[in-house]
Amino acid sequence: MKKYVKPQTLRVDFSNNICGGGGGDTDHGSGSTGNGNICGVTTEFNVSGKEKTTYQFCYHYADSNGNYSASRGSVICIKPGHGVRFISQETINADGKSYTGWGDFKGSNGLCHYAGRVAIDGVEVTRNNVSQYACQ
Amino acid sequence: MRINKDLVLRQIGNEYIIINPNGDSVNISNVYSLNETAAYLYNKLYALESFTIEECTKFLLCEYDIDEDTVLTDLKDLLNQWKELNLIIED
Repeated sequence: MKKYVKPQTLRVDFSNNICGGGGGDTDHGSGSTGNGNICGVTTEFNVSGKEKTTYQFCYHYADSNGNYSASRGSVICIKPGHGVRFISQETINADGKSYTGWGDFKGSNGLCHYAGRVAIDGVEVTRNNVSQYACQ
Repeated sequence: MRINKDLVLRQIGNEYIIINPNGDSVNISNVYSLNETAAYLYNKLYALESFTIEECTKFLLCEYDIDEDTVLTDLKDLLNQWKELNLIIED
């Protein structure tokens, strides 16, 4: 028998918990709406990118060994109105530095990378499905 | 009562959220997070055409170490909330 915890349901309020990625980077412009603070797990990442109608952020996924590698970074485009959730923070290495946290940064290949596990519309982005979200 | 099957429950890491996957975009004003107990019950009920509070009670009593009175009290709160949120529909 499992230990009982009272069943609970919480409404996820993205509107009051928007954070930016530290002011935007050269790849995504300077459209961050937040102050760069780390937000909780319920967060919409709302950044105006080159395409003003598209929310952009970068997701960084692990290689087969579970290591996060800058060279594997993918830029993901999300249409306005879609829900983005940050699941956990990770540490990745890029540009000779180690990055941990939600903030984005400019990687060695000119794209921004994102250290963390994220989900879009309730589906965690992984190497297997990242192509669905990649910028066209 | 029955589950509103326009919505789906998805597990993300250790979290469970309910979203409406229909259409080109998700209405982010209607996303709900469930704890493990609520998600367990939701999944059980999703498989049923309809359900009663007695059936909900049985599901929880079979899975968790808890007394019936506590479960009934908690279920009343939960099911009322789910009705308000349109997660379940009362026929």
